[in-house]
Amino acid sequence: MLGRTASSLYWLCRHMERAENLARLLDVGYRMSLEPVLDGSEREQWDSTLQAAAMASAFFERHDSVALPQIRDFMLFDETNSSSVRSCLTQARSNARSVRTAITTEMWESINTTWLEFSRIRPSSISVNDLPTLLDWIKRNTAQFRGAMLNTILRNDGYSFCQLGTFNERADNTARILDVKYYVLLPRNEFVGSEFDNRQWSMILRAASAHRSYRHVYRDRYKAWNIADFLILRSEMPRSLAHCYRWIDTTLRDLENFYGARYQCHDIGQAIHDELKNGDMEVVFQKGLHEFLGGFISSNNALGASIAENYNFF
Amino acid sequence: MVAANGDIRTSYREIADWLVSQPKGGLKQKARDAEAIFRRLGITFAVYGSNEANERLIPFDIVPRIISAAEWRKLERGIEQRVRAMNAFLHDIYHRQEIIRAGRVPEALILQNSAFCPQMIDQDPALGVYSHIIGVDLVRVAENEFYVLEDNLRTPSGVSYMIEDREAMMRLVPELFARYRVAPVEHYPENLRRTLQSVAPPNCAGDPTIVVLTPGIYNSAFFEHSFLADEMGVELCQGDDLYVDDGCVYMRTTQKPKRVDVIYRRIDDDFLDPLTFRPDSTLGVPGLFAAYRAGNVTIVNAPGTGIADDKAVYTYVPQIIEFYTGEKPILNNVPTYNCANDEERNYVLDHLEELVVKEVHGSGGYGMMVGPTSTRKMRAEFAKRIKARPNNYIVQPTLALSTCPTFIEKGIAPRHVDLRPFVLVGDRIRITPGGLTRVALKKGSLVVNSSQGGGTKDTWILED
Amino acid sequence: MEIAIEHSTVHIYEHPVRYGVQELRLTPPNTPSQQVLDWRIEMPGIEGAAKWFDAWGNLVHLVNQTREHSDLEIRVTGLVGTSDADGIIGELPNSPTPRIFVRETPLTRADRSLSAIAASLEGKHRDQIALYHALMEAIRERVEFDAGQTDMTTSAADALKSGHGVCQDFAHIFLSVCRRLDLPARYVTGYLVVREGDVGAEAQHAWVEADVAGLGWVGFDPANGICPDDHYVRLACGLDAADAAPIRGIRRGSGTDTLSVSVSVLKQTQQ
Repeated sequence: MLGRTASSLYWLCRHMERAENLARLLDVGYRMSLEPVLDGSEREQWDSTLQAAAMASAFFERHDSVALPQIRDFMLFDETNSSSVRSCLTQARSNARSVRTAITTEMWESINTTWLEFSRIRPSSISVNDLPTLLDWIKRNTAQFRGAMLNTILRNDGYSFCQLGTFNERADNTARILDVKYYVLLPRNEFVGSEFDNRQWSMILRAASAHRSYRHVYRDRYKAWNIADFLILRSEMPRSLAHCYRWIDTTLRDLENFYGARYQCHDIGQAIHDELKNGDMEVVFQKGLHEFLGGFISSNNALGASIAENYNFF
Repeated sequence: MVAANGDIRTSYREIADWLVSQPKGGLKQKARDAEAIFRRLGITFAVYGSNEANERLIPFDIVPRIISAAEWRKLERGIEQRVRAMNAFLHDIYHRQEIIRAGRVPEALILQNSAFCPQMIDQDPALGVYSHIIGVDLVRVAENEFYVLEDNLRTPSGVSYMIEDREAMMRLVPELFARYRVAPVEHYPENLRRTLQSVAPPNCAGDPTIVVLTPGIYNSAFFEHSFLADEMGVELCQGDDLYVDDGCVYMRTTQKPKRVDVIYRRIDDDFLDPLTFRPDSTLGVPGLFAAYRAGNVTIVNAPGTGIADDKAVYTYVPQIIEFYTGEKPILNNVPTYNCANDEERNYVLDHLEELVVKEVHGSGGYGMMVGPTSTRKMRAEFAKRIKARPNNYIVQPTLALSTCPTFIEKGIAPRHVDLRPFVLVGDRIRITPGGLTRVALKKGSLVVNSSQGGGTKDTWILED
Repeated sequence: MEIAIEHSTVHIYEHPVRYGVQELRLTPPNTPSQQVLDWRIEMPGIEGAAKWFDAWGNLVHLVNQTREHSDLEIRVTGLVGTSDADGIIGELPNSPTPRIFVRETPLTRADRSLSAIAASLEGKHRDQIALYHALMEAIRERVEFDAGQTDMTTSAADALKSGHGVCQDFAHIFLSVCRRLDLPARYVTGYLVVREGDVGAEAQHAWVEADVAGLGWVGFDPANGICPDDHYVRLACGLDAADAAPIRGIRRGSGTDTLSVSVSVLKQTQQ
């Protein structure tokens, strides 16, 4: 396989995953904007949404104030924002087109149709009330793409690069969501969280589509400790860091077997996985949650760079 | 489809019956279905200079174009004669230039021609083949009477439409295939692969590694590049995927570099190798041409084949065929006026309304004027240009192109068509029975180029 | 005469280069007036170089580097025995038909002034040799040898208009006029042992060869107004300077490339 093909598959899946995460983040932001503003200002809420999407500085370079319409346009439609949903879908489709022969017809049709339909949407035609429907549409289409991928692609090196792109991106997203709100997750003495805490916690869980599954796993009300545990160490939670790295580690091993060669990226992936697998929330909090997440985000980036280097992406 | 005496040509009789039997709105629905098929498959092309939708579908017409077995046999012989002669011509002008010495073509026409590639002098491509993949543009003016418009010996495109149009037709109108014996076109990619394999460099040991080299996804024919690579089961590469090491070409892969033996390039000569051709090209592979000259890789088609389909050289093709084959040309050239000749130029300037003017180095229907549909202003403009640079234009009479029934908004109507059959030259000559029929969708228009609103049709060569 | 040549080209890159590739036309042929006694090209990657003959019969090396590097030296050393053959080269092996060298190139395209020189020479000389000498004189009357006024990309027409130029410009003007007269002529690169009054001391030298009926290729050095003698070592030929360039290279990497070239061409004193 060409290095460029591997790179395109990896980035195709990363961009689709990013588009999905953006839709989820915007959905949470939208929800919060409907509720009465409590202690935090509206600006603070949007700030954290933009930060979790890693586009705060880009937004404030272009806008002075925050309001839903600007945020919506910036996160969904702005072509100058290289991480907007539109940009993600365009890049994903370009990647798919350039490796059209390395992906299945189902994958191609899914991304091509999503891109075509999204391109036809005029931002001005989307009212505030239409937003949830559109965000659901994005989530449904990206999920459909992933389904098409999982159901049809050959389990060879191409599949591995798709999975690496997906989980590298997802791990980054989950870590960012946590890091933006890490302070509301710090263990405190209060027995019961305030209403403010509850809302913040709920937002974090929703941003990771984890608000329902949380109850199934913990059978308890929201608690800061559990939430952090759920999204970091519980590998049964499909957006947790541990889950992402279980897949990354497995996938890297698959590649090692497939090509019969082990590189630096294998060591990095395995080390991160080991840390999560043997992790303990007690230790994480002692070291500092913010420090832990910061460290994770940079290791996760280092893994991406190492994969690109070792498999001749460029 | 209608013969001179007003009867429906026999070959179209079944089609006519079928058209009549279609329910109201049935054809329109089929046309919509066809569009949906092409759109979903991503068969689009980019249109230069249109800023809105930069990916468009080429309109597809569901009424097939039919050519009888007897007519095809004659065409085939004519095409084969032509491509043999053109390859012999290319070998000659890059070696001893006997045809110039013999005074059959003017020396300056070759040596001063920008399409002549001096870097190719004395290069010996595998099997002596320069142009391996050829798309000859023909028009039919009467029964068994075809004229060659252009030879397209560089990197002709459109073959994917020949195959996909057939695919679409088989899905949309299977019942019509039951009424005709239509020669299949699906073997083309396999024949292409065999052709490419046969021209691997002599020092290539074992099964040659073939790649398709594309300028990338923004190229108007990217779909075709990707399609052909996939159908042949070879890698689709961009310039960056390849590099030269110790005089050989390699692919960058996720594992060890892989040696490449044959490159079917869909990049123009100028952009192939910045060390030899345009230094600012980022699409090509630095050192590729050296690897080629050193005999370590085959470039298909060879650089410098453009000299043989240059519009100014076109006029001499009948002489070229006679010189190398000793035979009379089987296919006609369109008579062409030489504007450098005072008498001919004066005739041209007096009869511009009846003539077609083409810029020598233009392509895709740009820089062209069709007399009968031109305005007074256009004619004045072209007259000025011809006087200023007579060598820059060729002028031909307007041919009475054959028409073919075509589905339009209001129903079925005749539209002008041309035909581009595809020829492969390697260890042997392989001509696929079929081709790309392009149709001018505007009433009365003679311009079939997709960039100018032309469409395509499936082309049916009947078997006996 | 024996001539010792040391020619070093050093590139210093601002940022590391991951991949580099060069085409070298840096090997002198044996001709009636020169015998190559010793010749060596040293640079990273030269062991694996592909060697081939280009359209004009020049031996070309294709060299590449696949390891990351921050500088690159191309070093050529050699010893060539020369004699004075009045500039006559005759036919060299692998040479194509001379008529090819009437082909115009962007650097040698004739404008009105160049065509005027051609017209002033046409039909006035008893033979081609006389015409070529007259052409050299005509160029030297109009153009002053002057480094720094023109560059690699200056065309014959622009150099003539400016009235200044280096050996490359003199050669291009010569070629342009010859081709205008339908006489084949080609660009030649090489080295020169500089005598007092000679120009072309900087780096390498360039001159031309014109096709003369009965003699084959004959050298002319328009910058110095003479036919090359035993002070000249001929390297390669081509349609123009871009075509015959001794070194062409491409690298993958950003940033600037600082180039330094040193050439020493010395007459060997007999031991």
